[in-house]
Amino acid sequence: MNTPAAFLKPGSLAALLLTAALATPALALDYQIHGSAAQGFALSGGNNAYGNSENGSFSFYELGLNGTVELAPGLLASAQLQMRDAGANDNGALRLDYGLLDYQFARDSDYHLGIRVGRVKNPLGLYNESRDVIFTRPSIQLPQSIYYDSQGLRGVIFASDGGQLYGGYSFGGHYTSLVAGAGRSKNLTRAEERQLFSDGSDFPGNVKLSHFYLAQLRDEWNSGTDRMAFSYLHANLDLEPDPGIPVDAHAAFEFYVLSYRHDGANYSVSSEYSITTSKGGGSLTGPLDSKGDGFYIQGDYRLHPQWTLMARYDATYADRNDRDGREYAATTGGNRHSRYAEDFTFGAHWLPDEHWGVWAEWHHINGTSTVPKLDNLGRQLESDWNLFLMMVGYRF
Amino acid sequence: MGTQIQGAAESVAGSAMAARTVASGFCTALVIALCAFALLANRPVHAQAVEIITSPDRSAIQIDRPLLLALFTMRVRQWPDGQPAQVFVLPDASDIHEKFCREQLGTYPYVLRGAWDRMVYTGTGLAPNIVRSEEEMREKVRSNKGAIGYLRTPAQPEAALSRSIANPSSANSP
Repeated sequence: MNTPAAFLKPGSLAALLLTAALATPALALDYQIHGSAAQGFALSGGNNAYGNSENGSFSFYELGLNGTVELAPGLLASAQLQMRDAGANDNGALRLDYGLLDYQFARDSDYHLGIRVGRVKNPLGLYNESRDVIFTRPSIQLPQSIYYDSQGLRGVIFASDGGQLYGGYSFGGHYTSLVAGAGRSKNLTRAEERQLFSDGSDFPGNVKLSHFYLAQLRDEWNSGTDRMAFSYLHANLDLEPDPGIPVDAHAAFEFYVLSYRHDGANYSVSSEYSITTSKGGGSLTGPLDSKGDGFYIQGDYRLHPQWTLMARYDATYADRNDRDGREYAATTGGNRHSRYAEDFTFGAHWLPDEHWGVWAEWHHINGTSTVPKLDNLGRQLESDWNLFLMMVGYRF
Repeated sequence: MGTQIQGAAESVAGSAMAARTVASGFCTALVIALCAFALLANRPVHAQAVEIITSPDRSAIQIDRPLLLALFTMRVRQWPDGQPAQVFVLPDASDIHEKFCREQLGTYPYVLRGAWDRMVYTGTGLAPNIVRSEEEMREKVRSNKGAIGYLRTPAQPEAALSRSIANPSSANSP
């Protein structure tokens, strides 16, 4: 072991400088750690959401911790751990939200190109990628016409193990970007299956997700204060029952979303429209060929940099050719109101500093197609209901 | 534009005495006035409250609006020549940051924050470095390679021109 004095001999000094020079790039690795935590509260009349909300539910929180390191110029490695509870629809289990390598391999002043591999977040509409961080979404509960929370496909849509190619190009005041990705096939988890079947039953076998592709084309102008996007997602779901179980079913889903948002100094307007088609069949479902749609329009008004008011109309229809569910009721004897949901939302949020935020919103909902079924097992669903949500969040 | 016209008008007015002395003096004054106008026209940044500053190694690079947006939205992490970019900003609530967003980028602090959040919470980018004061901004941009930031435009135009403020070696060059 050399003493400090021994290091200062001429030869040692050169070695020390060389060591320092070599060590510098490693020490200068740019990295960041960020996180967010939020606790929610739900109170409702008519139906439950986020747990047993008719009695007031705190079974609603989200925690995330992420790290990103720049390994070399243009090369990032990043990962986020997350825990989320949302009544019966999420269980607070620790999961890897994303874990990826992102390499931006070409760039100039007006374009860039890159690739991401690993567990990547899927761009779909304006907010899907970062939907579980309250600070990045436009309300406590996202508009259900586009961002399904309880219809079973949430987990399938928000991230996938695979890769994405991305690129962006600036011209004439516009910035246009494209992300295209593919995810590898996987079997749904038990929790995802329970949500998909929505009656809480476990399917005896596997539900396999395959042929997962997505693309998002975005255009931004006026320095990003106007944004338009077109998103597309395709996935196949196949039931693979255990031996001896005589059922089978398969479906191919296509999901299209058209999005627009304008941001002004004091106000924002955003609107999205989606169409979902499912085609397939099998002994369990019979022939399947449906086309549902939905849209919302939201306005935000900033009273003050810290205070924002919002109002939204959000409508979801299981069948765009039978929006009021009459045909469905006539042919199946089911409830008309299970085929649609129209949600009027009024809310406010307060961001007192760069770390804290408080949100509150009230939903008046007509129709039950977006009611989280697992929170209401064995209950008669009410077609007219109210939901009050609050959330307090911290981030760094 | 208002400042430019006023500047040119003042130059013309200032040269009125010379024009009375000799006929050719008028031509000289006109040339001076046009030069003053051209000089002002080349530095529209002086009409603005906030100006871009870069580290000394970046002083020769032309920065247009698309590159400025690409760098400050953090969607591009390197300069066009491959040098990693170090982006410095003041906190969202800072008046200077708000002016910078409006004047130089054409956007608002909350929109820029939204773009950073989207990258930070999807693992596809880094947030910019936040500095707490203009003094810290000046120091960090001066001392980091590939750095870019902004400062309030000094009251006296001759004190520092454009973004060379962070580059002591070129601060005296025209």
